Amino acid sequence: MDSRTEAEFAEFMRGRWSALVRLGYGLTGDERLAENLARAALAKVYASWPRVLRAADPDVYLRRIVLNESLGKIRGRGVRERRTGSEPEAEAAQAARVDDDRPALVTALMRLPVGQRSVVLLRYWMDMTEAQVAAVLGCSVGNVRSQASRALASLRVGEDAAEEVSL
Amino acid sequence: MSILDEQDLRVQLDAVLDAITPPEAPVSAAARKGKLIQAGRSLGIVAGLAVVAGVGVGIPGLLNQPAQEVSHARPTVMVEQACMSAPRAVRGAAIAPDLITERAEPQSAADSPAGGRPAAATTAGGCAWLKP
Repeated sequence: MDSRTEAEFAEFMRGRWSALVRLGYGLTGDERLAENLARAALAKVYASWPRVLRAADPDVYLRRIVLNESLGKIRGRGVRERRTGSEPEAEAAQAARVDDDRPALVTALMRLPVGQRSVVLLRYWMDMTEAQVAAVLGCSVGNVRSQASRALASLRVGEDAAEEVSL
Repeated sequence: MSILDEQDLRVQLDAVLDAITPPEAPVSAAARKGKLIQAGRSLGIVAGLAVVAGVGVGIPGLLNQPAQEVSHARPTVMVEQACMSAPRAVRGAAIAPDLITERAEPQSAADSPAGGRPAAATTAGGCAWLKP
């Protein structure tokens, strides 16, 4: 990369960094992990910069990378937990501590399947259309619609369940 | 937490996620990692090409090995005089050489490496050797 391209990349990264970290936080519920995801996504963008520039919408490409990275992390965590049989004590304690600090909405989001969580964030936080969400996730518009509907229903049920427990 | 509808969810998501204040964008760190990814990809391409070249050179060498020489030497059949201790079938063949005369070429006793006599003389029960 020459200095002009480097400057272009730096501008691109600074313009999207905050939104990417927030998206990562919504997906993982962990700020540090969210930063790592955003950094990894932008490193991949740097490595494929000419392809990103050629893409019709570089942001779609970038969000897809973040989603894939977070899916990999979440699945990797699930595999580790299955291998060990139970969550290691330290990890469980840390998770509980994080759960305590997290807003109730983030905790509720973490209970959703990753696909539904992604749809909620892209559709209702990033204000993307159903077609745009489908393009980022690589699925059909109908699938996006059904995932969004299920996610909303789960969030409402989760809210009712929380109220019952508190009573 | 209470979510009434989509609009309510939007508002709550904005409130929660906008509260996150990320640090300064790590441009140089991302660029460094990106260069590493590029280098890894280049190495992968070079390794792939090396494997392809190795297969391209090695496989024809393995497939086109020269065939072993086939021996065209004609076989030599020797029939020695059957001694009395030999099996009966062997003795019978020596006594009745007409059974093998179609394929036999009687030669002189001088040519016989074993000192035998020509097949024609075996009617009397002597030695016979055949050299096709």
